[in-house]
Amino acid sequence: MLPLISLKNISKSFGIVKALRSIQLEVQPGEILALVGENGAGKSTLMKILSGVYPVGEFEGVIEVRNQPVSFRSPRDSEAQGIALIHQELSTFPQLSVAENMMVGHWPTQKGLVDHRSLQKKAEHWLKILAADFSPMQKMSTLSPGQQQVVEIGKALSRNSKILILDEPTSSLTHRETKKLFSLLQDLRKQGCALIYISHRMEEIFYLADRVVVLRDGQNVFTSEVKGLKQADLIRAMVGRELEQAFQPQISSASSNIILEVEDFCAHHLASAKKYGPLHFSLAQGEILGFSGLLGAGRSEILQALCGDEAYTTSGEVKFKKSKKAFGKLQKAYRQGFGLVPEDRKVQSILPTRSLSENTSVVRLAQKSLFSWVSKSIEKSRTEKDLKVLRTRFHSTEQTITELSGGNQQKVIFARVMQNSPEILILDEPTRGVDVGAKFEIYQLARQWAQEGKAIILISSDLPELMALSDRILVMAGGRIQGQLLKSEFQEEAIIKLAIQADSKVEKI
Amino acid sequence: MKQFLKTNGAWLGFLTLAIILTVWTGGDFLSPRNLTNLIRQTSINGILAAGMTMIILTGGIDLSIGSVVALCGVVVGLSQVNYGLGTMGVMGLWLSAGVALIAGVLIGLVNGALIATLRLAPFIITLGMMVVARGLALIFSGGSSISPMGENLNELAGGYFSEFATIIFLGCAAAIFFYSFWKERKNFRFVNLIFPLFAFILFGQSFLRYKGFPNLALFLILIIGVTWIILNHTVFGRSVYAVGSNEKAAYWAGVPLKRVKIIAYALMGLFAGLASLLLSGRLNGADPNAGQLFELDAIAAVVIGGVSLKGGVGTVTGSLIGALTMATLNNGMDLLGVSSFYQMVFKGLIIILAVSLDRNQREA
Repeated sequence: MLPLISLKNISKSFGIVKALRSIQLEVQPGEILALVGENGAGKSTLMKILSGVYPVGEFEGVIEVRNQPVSFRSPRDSEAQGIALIHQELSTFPQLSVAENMMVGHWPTQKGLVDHRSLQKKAEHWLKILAADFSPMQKMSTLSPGQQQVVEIGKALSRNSKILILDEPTSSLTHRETKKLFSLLQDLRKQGCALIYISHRMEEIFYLADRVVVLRDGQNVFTSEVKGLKQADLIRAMVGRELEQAFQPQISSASSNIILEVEDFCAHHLASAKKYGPLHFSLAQGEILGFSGLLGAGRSEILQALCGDEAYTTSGEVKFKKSKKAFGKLQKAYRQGFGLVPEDRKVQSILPTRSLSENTSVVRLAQKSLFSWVSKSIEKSRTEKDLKVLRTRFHSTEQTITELSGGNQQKVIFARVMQNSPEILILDEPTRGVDVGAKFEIYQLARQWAQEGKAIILISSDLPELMALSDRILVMAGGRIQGQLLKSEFQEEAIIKLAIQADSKVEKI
Repeated sequence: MKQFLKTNGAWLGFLTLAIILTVWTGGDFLSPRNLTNLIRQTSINGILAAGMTMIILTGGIDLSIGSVVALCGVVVGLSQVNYGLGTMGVMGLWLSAGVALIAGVLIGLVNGALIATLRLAPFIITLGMMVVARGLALIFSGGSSISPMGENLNELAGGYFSEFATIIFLGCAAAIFFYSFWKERKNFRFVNLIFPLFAFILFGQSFLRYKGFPNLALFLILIIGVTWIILNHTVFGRSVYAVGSNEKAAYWAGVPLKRVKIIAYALMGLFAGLASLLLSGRLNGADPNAGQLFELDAIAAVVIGGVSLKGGVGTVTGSLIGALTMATLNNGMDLLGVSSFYQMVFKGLIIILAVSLDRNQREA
C-alpha cells in the first residue's frame, strides 16, 4: 500500500543543537502510529515541521504526501494537503459558538456577511458523524475538555484532512471521555485516515496504536508493530535503560506516628458556592496516601482548601502533630511544614520569565519578611546543590525555567517545595506532562522522601502510578470520600467502581 | 551578538541618538553645560521611571503620577508659602519634604489598596486617581500657582556640589562600579563594561568642567540605586518579579500578593512626592496644572529600557537609560530649535521605533 505520508531524512538544528537527525517516518492510510519519546526527544519539532510551522528551508529532508514531494511555507499549506494538528492545549475561542469554532477561517459568507444558517448546518453534519452529544449553537466555553476535543477533530474533518496528528489528546480528559475519543479514532482509522498519536501513556499506546515509533535525542531509535511488543521493551527503547523496578510496589515505610488528622473538614468555595466534604482521614509519617477520583471529584480543591487557599471558607477539625490548626493562608500552612506541588505546572507553578534560582527560592523567601536581604551567591549555590540532588538537567542556575523540559521544570518545583523542608507533601498530578524517564525519577524521589519520614498525599489520575506508589488509596467523588482501599485491595476496577458509583448517585439526586 | 544586543540594546539606542545629535549640532550637544543640563532634565523623569519600573514589573501600571506630582507640589507650595515653612530655613525644608512624601505615599497606598483588595484593573483605578488628584490639586491651590518657594528648596533642586565633593562622588561611583564588576568577574565580558564606562567618563568630565555635580543627579542616582537594591536583593523585589511573571504561581508559592502590590504603589507614590519636591524647587513655584503627561514619559522610559509591559522582565538600570534617551531627545530637539509641536510628533515616533526593536515587548 502507498503510504499517505512519508518523511525522509528529516534533520533540523537550532544553532549548534541538533534537534532531529535524519528521521524516517511513514504512515499508511488506516493506520494509527504512536509516536513516543521523552520530552525533548524531538517529537514536537517533528510535528511542527509536518504542520508547516517551520517552513521549508528551515530543515533538511523531504516530506511526501501520497508519494508527491510537498513543501510547506506556512501551516496553511500543510492544511491544504490534508494535515491537521490537534494540539495538546486546545486553542479555542471560548466566547464563540461550537459551529463558529469548528469552521473558523472558513466561515461561509453571503454578500460579505457570515451565513449563520449554512454555518450551523455544516457544523451539525460533522457533529452527527462524530456522534457528538452537544449542539453547534452552544458556546464553546460550556463544553468539557473532551467535547472540545471532538470539536477540534470535527474542524480537521471538515477541512477534508486525512492525516491527523494528536498531541497528548487525553491529558485533560476523564476516563469516559477518553474511551469515547478512542472509539472515534478507531472509526477514523476504518475510514482510511492516517493518525499520528503522541502520548506518554503506555496503556493508550497498547490499546490504540498499530505501530509505534520511538524518538530519542532527535533520532529514530525504535520502530515496531504493537502486536507482540512488550511494555518493558518499549520503555527501554524510550529511556535507553532499565526502569521496571520502579513500577514494582515496594514495602511501605509508614510508621505508626500519626502526623495529620482531619475530621469533618468541609470547604466552601466563595466564588462558585460549591461545597466539598466532609473529609475524614489520618496520615502517618512515612506514609504515601493516594487520592483517586474522576475529574471534578474535588480532590485538588479540598486539599488546597486544607492548605489555606483563600478562595474557601472551611469548617471542621485539622490536627497537625496533635494540635489543632486552621491555616486560612497558604503562608501559614507552609510555615508549619506543609508543601504543595500544584496540579497545573504552567498555570500554578512556574514563573516563566525568571531564572532557575528565582524559581527555586520563591517559596522559602515568601516565608521571610518582605524587606529581608537576599544574597544572590548563597541562593545560587543552594539552588545548584538542590537541583543536582534531584538530578535535574540544566546548565546554569541563571537560565530561564522555560528552557527546560517539562520533567526538569517539575524537578525545579520539587526543589522549591523541598527548600522549605516540609513534613507533609501534597503532590497533585506530579507527573502530568512529564516524560517517562523523569516520571520514574519522580517516583523514586517520592519513595525516598517517604522513607525519610515525610508524609505524602498523592493526587493522581494515572491509576498504575497511584497503585504503585500509595500505601492506601482514598477514592473521592462529588467532593466526598467514597471508600478506602488498602494495599492488598488495590485493583483498577475497584477504584473506578467507587469513583463512578458515586457519580451516578449524584445524578439520581 | 544577539546576547550583546539583548543586554545593551538600550545603551546602543542612546549612543546612536547622541552621535547623531553631536554631528548635527556641531558638537554643542557634548558641551559640559549641555551634558550637565541633560542629566538635570533626566532626573525627575528618571525618579518617576524607577517607581514605574516596580509597578510595571508586577504587571500593573500607574497613570496617576502626573497628577500626584501636581498635588504633592501644591502641598509643598502651601507649606512653603501659606504656612511659612519657606522662611524657616533647613527645618522648613525638611518639614515640606516630609509632607510631600507623606502625601505621595498616602495616595500610593490608596491606589495599591484598591487594586489589591478590590481586584480591579490598575489601569482603571489609577485613571480615576489621575482625575481625583488633579481635582484635589486645583481645589487646594484655588486653581492658581503658588510661589515663591524658600531659598533652601530652590538650592536643593537647582544647586551643585563643590568640585571637591564632585570628585569624591565620582570616586565612590567608580569604586562601586568596579566592585560590582569584580564580584561578577567569573562571567566578565568587556563589552558589558564599555557603555557604563563611556557614560561615566562623558558625564563625569562635564560635571567637573561645568559647575559640579548637580544635586538633582544625586537624587536620581540615589533613587535608582535604592530601587536596584530593592529589586535585586530583597524578598519584596523578588516578589515583584514573581507576581509579574505569573501571579497565580506566586500565590501558590505563598507570596503575599496584596502586600506586595500595595507596597509597590506606595513606593511609586513616595517617589512621586520626591519628584514634586524637586520640581517645585526647580521651578520656584507649585502649579496645580504641572506634571501633565509625566506618567506617559515615565512609562515610555521604562518601556524603552526593556521592561515588559506584561510584567516579570526588566531592570531599573534599563529604565534609567530609557529616561536618559527621552531626555536626550528633548534636549537635542531644543538645541536644534525644533518647534515644540514637531517635537511631540518626533518623540512619539521614536518611542514606537524603540519599542518595536525590543523583543521583550513582543506579544508571545
